[in-house]
Amino acid sequence: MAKVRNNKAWLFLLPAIVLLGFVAVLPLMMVAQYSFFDVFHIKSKVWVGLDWYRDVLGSIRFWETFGRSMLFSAIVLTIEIPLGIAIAVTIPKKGALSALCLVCMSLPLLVPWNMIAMIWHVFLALAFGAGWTLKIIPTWAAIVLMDVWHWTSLVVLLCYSSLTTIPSAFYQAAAVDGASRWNTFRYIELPKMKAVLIMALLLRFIDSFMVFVEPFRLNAGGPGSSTTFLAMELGQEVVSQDYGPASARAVIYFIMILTLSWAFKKALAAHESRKMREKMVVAIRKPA
Amino acid sequence: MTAVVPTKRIATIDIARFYAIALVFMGHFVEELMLLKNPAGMSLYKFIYSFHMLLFAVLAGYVAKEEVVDWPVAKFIDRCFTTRLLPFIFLTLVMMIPPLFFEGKFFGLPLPSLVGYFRGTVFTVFGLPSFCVPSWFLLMIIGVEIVHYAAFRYLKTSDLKILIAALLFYVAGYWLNLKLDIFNPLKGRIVGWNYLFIHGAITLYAFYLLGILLRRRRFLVGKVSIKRLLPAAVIAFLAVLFTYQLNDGPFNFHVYNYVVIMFASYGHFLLFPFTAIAGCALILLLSRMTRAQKTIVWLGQNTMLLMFLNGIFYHYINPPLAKWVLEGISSSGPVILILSGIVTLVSLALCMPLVYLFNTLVPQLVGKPKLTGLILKKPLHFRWLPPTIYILFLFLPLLPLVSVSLHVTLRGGATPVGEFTLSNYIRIFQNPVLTGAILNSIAYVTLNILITIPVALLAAYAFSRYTFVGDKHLFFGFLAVRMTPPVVMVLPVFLIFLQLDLVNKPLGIALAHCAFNVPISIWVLESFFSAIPKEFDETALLDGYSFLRFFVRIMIPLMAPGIAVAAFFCFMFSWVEIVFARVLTVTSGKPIGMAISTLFSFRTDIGLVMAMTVLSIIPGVLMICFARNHIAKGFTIRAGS
Repeated sequence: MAKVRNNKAWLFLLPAIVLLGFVAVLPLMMVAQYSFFDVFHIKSKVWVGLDWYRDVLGSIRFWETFGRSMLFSAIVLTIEIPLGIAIAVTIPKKGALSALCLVCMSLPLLVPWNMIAMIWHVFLALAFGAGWTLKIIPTWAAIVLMDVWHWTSLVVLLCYSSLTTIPSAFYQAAAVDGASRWNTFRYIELPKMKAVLIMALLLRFIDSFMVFVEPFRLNAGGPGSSTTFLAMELGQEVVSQDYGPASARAVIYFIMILTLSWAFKKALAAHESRKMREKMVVAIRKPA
Repeated sequence: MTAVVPTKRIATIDIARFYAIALVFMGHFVEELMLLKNPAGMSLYKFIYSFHMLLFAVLAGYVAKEEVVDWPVAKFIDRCFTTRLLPFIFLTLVMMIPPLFFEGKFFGLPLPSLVGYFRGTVFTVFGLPSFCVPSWFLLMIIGVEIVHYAAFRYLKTSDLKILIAALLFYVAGYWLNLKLDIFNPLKGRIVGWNYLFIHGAITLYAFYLLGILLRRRRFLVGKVSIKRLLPAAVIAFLAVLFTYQLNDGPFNFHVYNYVVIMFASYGHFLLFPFTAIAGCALILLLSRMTRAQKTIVWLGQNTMLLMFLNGIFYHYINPPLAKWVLEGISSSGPVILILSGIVTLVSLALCMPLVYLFNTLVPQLVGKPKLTGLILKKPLHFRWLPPTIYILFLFLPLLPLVSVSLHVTLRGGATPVGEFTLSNYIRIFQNPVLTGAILNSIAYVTLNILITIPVALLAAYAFSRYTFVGDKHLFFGFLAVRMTPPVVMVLPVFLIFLQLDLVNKPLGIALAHCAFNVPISIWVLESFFSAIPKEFDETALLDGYSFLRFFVRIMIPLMAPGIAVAAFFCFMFSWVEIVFARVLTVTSGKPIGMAISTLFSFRTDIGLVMAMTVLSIIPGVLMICFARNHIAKGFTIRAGS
């Protein structure tokens, strides 16, 4: 289905652009502006140039937190993505049972974020008693467990949604060929899920990289600062009204995320063009 | 169902397993006597425990399939699951039932109560099967078999290698046990890791290898004269008898100061294996001398089930029985010995009908995957298992939430703490602040959906139908907006909204949430639009519809599923979001999440907090029920245009 080339399409996009310009782009520009000032009050500020950036990027603490956030994202992704795929593949494809599964699995996604930490607090206190909050490894384990509990379902829902679009003829063909379960997964289901998986990966990466509410409510970044992540440092600065440094930090985070999203887009483009090539190859071969 | 007896089984080994399980039953009876400080009980306990669990390891090695190591991982996991883990899970669930009716010995676990069940489940998951302590060995053998699967491929070529490996595994396991100190109840460590995968399994694998070696050397296979068996057995017996008392440490489990494999408490580096091997030899030789009586062999083939059934005696019967024996009958050595034997035999006899029932009704659930039973008539498949376990995991922390919300938790009220009550919910509806918060949340989420969906519909239509200058960049731009964390934007958004008088109002939050809901909705709706053929638009427009009429009258009804899914996503990210919702409501208009936070004080009524949390989930559940058919029907999401 060829798309029509028509620049009037911008008209359709205008509402979205205006809306997002107002709630996202304008605030971002303000943040960028503040990041060059020492803000005493909204109306009184002093130009400080790149001082805040130097402060933030020059501090060991920032890089420690950065490493911690990276580690957290890495752990969370290596658990959630394969687990999400495994669950999505095994959910029944139709019938009342599949709907029930989806409803049950969506539950964690519907709990207010600050309550997630509290629910886990109560549960962990029941299971392990008090005192685990004083130790680093149990706190990390609790935060990871909580994140897995909270967000794996999103991966499941996304993967499942793309799995249901596979025509049953594909599975029948695989059965006729005597394909093993693994091969069916590898050559039929995984390629179909690829696009969605990239999206899920990106969503989960960014959201876990910038995780804020849950670890903060669970143990306030403690013990010490062993579970303080990037967004939590920013949150602390916003709360203590250090608007200048907070803005510089926000800009740095935004640029980091933009870079990551851009890299992702590139990867996606490479993927799409490869797919196009494959399609062309098929199209060329067909007449022969 | 004794009809299906595998022909290849070696009767001697089954008899040895019978002796071993009898020793488990006996050991757990004399354990109670030992705990009551009966001298005979203490000696007998130390005697039995010096070798009886290692005997199981040796026997498991003796009958181990060597070709296991050539299996693909999937097959190994499958077998491990169907013959070990599934019976473990099933029988643990079964063993969770009796605490509801009988009082037993559960080491401080408050059973039957929700707290007790939760803690017990967590302990079980971490390797201490609290509901049936004797079943720990099943977990241990899983660990040993994993070590076997990983290591034996390098050893199978020669017996010498196996022997050296056995020694090395023993030394390594013993050393790790001293060094890692993973299990030490006095230090409050998590129980169970020791025998699951770490040094417990490594130490026991040495004995497993010994079993393999014995079979390879055809130990006790074929004709052996009683004239050689009897003296050998007597020597083995004397060896155990003279050495079992000598092993006095260092023990991991200081409380008993006995060999307790479950706690990786081995004692002396040389005396422990010496006594253990002598004990194993004793039982093997005895078994060889025992006539292959049908019942004994049958019991020997069902040791796993018996280990679970022993839990009934371990938790409920042995403690009072031991007390009664000591107080009511006698505490003298010979009497105790005879009585222990009788108790063991009677216990085993009582287990027999249960073993028969399990094997007849549900053999697939007790480690016999190839048989079929009267209740489970088909071989099992386990496709349903991962989602089920996952859903159980999701419900795990939600159950105490619901439970707490239904109980009185505040001290000093009219009703005592712990009483079942609906008052928490009633109080929410009497409190205008809390009901107001629910309404605020509903208001801003509804507003958000009402703003997001039309805007996103138009944009998604454009992305789906047209190419235009900068379309890819724009899509990326939208994506970048979604990726920007709320914390980054919260401050300027607050300042802007303050100027526009949008703070403290649902509309303010609704607008702020558009920043991440609009991109997501465009993304979802675009794929739905793309599923409708373009020719459809053209036909409609050719028929004389104006574009607006076409879009509202024809396109939107067609897009209903897409709109439902997009609305679900909006709801999902908006209802639960807390950063914007908190900052943008300074004095009033607080959403549900923030209202809950304000309930915390120095005298928090946790029941009320939990009730509010439960209520906060309900609209979401309704929302999913509304959108579920569309999600279940499936929608193709394309990752960008």
